[in-house]
Amino acid sequence: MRAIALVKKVPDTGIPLKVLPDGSDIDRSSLQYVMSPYDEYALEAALRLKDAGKLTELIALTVGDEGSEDVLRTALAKGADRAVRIQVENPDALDGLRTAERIAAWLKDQDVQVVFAGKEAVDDAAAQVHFYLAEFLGWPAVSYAVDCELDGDTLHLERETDRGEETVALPLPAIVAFDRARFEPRLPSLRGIMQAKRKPIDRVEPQGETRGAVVRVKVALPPAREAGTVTTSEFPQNVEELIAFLKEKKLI
Amino acid sequence: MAMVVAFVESLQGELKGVARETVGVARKVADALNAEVVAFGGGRKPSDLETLGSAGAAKVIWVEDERLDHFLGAPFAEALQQLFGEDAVAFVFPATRLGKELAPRLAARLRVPMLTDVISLSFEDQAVVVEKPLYAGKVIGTFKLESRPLVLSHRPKAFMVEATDGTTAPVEVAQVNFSDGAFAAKVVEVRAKDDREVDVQDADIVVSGGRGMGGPENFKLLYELAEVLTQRTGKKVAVGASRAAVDAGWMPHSHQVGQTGKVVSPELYMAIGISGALQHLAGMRTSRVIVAINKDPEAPIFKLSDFGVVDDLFKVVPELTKRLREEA
Ligand SMILES: Cc1cc2nc3c(=O)[nH]c(=O)nc-3n(C[C@H](O)[C@H](O)[C@H](O)COP(=O)(O)OP(=O)(O)OC[C@H]3O[C@@H](n4cnc5c(N)ncnc54)[C@H](O)[C@@H]3O)c2cc1C
Ligand SMILES: Nc1ncnc2c1ncn2[C@@H]1O[C@H](COP(=O)(O)O)[C@@H](O)[C@H]1O
Repeated sequence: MRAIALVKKVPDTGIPLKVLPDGSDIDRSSLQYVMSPYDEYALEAALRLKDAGKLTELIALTVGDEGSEDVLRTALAKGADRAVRIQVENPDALDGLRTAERIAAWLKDQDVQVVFAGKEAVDDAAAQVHFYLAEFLGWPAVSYAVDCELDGDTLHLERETDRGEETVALPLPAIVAFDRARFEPRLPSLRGIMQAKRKPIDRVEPQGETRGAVVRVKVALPPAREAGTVTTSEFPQNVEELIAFLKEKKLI
Repeated sequence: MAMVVAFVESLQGELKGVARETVGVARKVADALNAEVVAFGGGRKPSDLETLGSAGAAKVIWVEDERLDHFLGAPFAEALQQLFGEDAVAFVFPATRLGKELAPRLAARLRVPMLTDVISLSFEDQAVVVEKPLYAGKVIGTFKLESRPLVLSHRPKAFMVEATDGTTAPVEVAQVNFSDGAFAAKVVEVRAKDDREVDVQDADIVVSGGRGMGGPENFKLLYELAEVLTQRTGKKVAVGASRAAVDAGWMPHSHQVGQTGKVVSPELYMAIGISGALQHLAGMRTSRVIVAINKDPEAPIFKLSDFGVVDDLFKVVPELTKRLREEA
């Protein structure tokens, strides 16, 4: 059984970001890049199935420019068998529709049974690509998975909804998008890193439009929140002040 | 008249709090596009659907089918396409888990791009101009889109929508011919939460605890505070948690606020025993008023809170609850 893990290279959002003075983009001069965190969980879920002998081949796929091959190397080092990059020069100019169209166009000629994705890429936070893809391929898809298991031609996944925890069964071929999982992603081993150098990355030409219709006009930092009052009064005076504040704001 | 469809989400036969806001956002779109709002939903039928009229809906269309009560998007996407695919000029969804699934599914069927988690919206001629958070909320992007139908999801609580007069909307029940594929994904087991707690995203007030709570048993203090706040304000109050508290197993993940949890913007957010890490702030920085209770005066949460109390939460929280109860 062959599976695809979708992986996207994104700026590390764990550090403060700056924007360029003209607002045209974030300041990329001192950025760190990582694999989008939810893609890490999805990839880990796929690797676990591979370790358990349930997948014969795991392919890491990205739609991006040459620089985005970093995340493919990482995926290879962790245990993916090979990688594919659908070549686009300006991945940020693609919207979810266009990205998913490119992936679907490539995927339709492949013998793939499962697609793993993140619930959203942390850069655009769009949460779109896997669902567009599901509709284009006509495959069942579920997001917010925290664990999954392959059982014959059914994918069982665990997810959380507003009414509790659930098990959902998807007949293959299927798409699963991961939230933060019940397990932590592995780090690449030294041996894995060495082996990754010999694993192939196929570069494929995209079919069709490589610009989306969604136009980004500008970016800005969110309005700064001013620090308000901080009371160091003694207890219980401080509680009294808190209640007065809540009343003044008409919250109680 | 042209039509803007608002997807109204419900849970077990009750409209979610966000439903009225979605109708309100759809009304903003409808005003700009010279259209009227049709509210649409499905599953067990809530008894108060006609009240969506006062939020701006001209009518409500409901698909009464219990198979829709499973938080699965495929059948809804099919229903939306069948009922409105040809006619609607715009579709508005809440950026909840279900809404965020439905919007791209429908957009795929209609072959149009879409906008997720919009926090503001205006029109320039034919183009909609929206703001949405990027990079885990650290940056706000402005985007423009001209395609029709317009498909977008709005962040819950990001829009102040005023109720119009008390008019009621007529409710119609619609039939949909679902394909087998619509129900390909099957929920095989539900381990339902035993209570009917308010979801943090649906709450007007969120009282959150972090590592400072010290253990699962102490979250009782927050539930007690939430209870008096509910009594006093009549508002929806939820208990939230930081990732540290969730990772420690003190609270379920569905309560987690932050980058890997839920994004909330309530009227009041209380961070109790929470330091204010960037990833936590990503989930609550757009709250209208933020209160922090923390014994460390250097805790970063104080840099963005509107009111901070530097003290031991085990003294402050019970006292606050007690006073609010006495005053009531
Ligand atoms: C990729 C990634 C994603 C993440 N996503 C999230 C997320 O979604 N949500 C999230 O919350 N975190 C997230 N984190 C974790 C985040 O970085 C912090 O580790 C976490 O928020 C810390 O939780 P905390 O504030 O409860 O704990 P701490 O940082 O340990 O803070 C505890 C606070 O409690 C105070 N305290 C202790 N005892 C008392 C007392 N008796 N009275 C009053 N105050 C007291 C302390 O002074 C301290 O400030 C993420 C991290 C990463 C790397
Ligand atoms: N350019 C891309 N290359 C590979 N996978 C992607 C790309 N964009 C999105 N994805 C996948 O789709 C998920 C959702 O992305 P998004 O719709 O951008 O939030 C991501 O977590 C990835 O798994």
